[in-house]
Amino acid sequence: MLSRIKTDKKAVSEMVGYVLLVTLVVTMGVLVYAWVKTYVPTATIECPDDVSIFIEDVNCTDSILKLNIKNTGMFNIAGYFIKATSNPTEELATIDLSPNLTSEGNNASKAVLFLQENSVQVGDEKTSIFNLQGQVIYSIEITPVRFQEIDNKIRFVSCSEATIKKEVNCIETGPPH
Amino acid sequence: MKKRGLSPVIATTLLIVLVIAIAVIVFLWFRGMVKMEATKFGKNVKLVCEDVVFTASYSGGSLQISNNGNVPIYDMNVKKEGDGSYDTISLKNDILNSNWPTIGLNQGQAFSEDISSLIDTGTNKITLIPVLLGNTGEGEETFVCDEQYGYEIIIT
Repeated sequence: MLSRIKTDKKAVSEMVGYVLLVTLVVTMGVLVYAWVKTYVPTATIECPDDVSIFIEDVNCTDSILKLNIKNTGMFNIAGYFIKATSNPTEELATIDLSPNLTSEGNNASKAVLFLQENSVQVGDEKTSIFNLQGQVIYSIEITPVRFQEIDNKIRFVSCSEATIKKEVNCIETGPPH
Repeated sequence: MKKRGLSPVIATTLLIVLVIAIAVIVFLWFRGMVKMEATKFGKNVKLVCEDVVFTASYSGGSLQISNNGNVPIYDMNVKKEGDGSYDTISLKNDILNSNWPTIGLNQGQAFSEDISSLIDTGTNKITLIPVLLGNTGEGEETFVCDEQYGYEIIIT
């Protein structure tokens, strides 16, 4: 009887040991996995190389900037960021013109967007009108944007590689609006 | 005999409770010691620093920055170097009525500010170091990218 009790005790002890060991290993595994997973590089948010946009025409009269762009790339786009320089010596365009949009489209996300999806199809032309309200500008910088699926999520992507610049003659100030 | 029979069960229960209690205490202590790494877009914020793309220029006291990438820049540290010393300022917090957007410089956005009063005469180089906003288990936290991801401007 005594030897049987001793045997039972040993059996329980081993089982507890295994359970603790397995629990410990599984817990450590989960913790290490969660930590290492953040270091695994995922898909970078970037535009395809063949996104391209072209300024067909731009003119400025009485502080009204009329811009006609054409999608000359291989992908549909959703719209564009538009920024301007207010000084001929400025290297970077920093004035956001999207709030000045008065024509078709909307200026959500600080960009001129025509619809939520990539509605500007390859070859499409779009004309936008901006009321500069007397703002003097010397050049404009346009960067196409599009929505694309990355890791099963729809992301808003700026295509900075396809940025174009153009000098504009918009230095005469119009009447205040 | 019955008393002796109960003893191993109680001892085992006590052992398990003790081990779990100690493990919880050690885990809580260790978590406080080791700061949880922040993540952004599901990956470590250190890796996201590689994806930050921006251009900058400084002329006539005016600093201009344009975020050309797809990673929002929450803040920008300006490291001023010259005369064998350096100092770092934040464009978001260290400038009164700063033009820096409250939520950070999102994709496609640009920033312009006259920082001539903050640049000492001995300063010969400034480095713009992006600061990102990441998520930890306890909320949002800022992360200053390494200087290697900074943008150097030589001041003449």
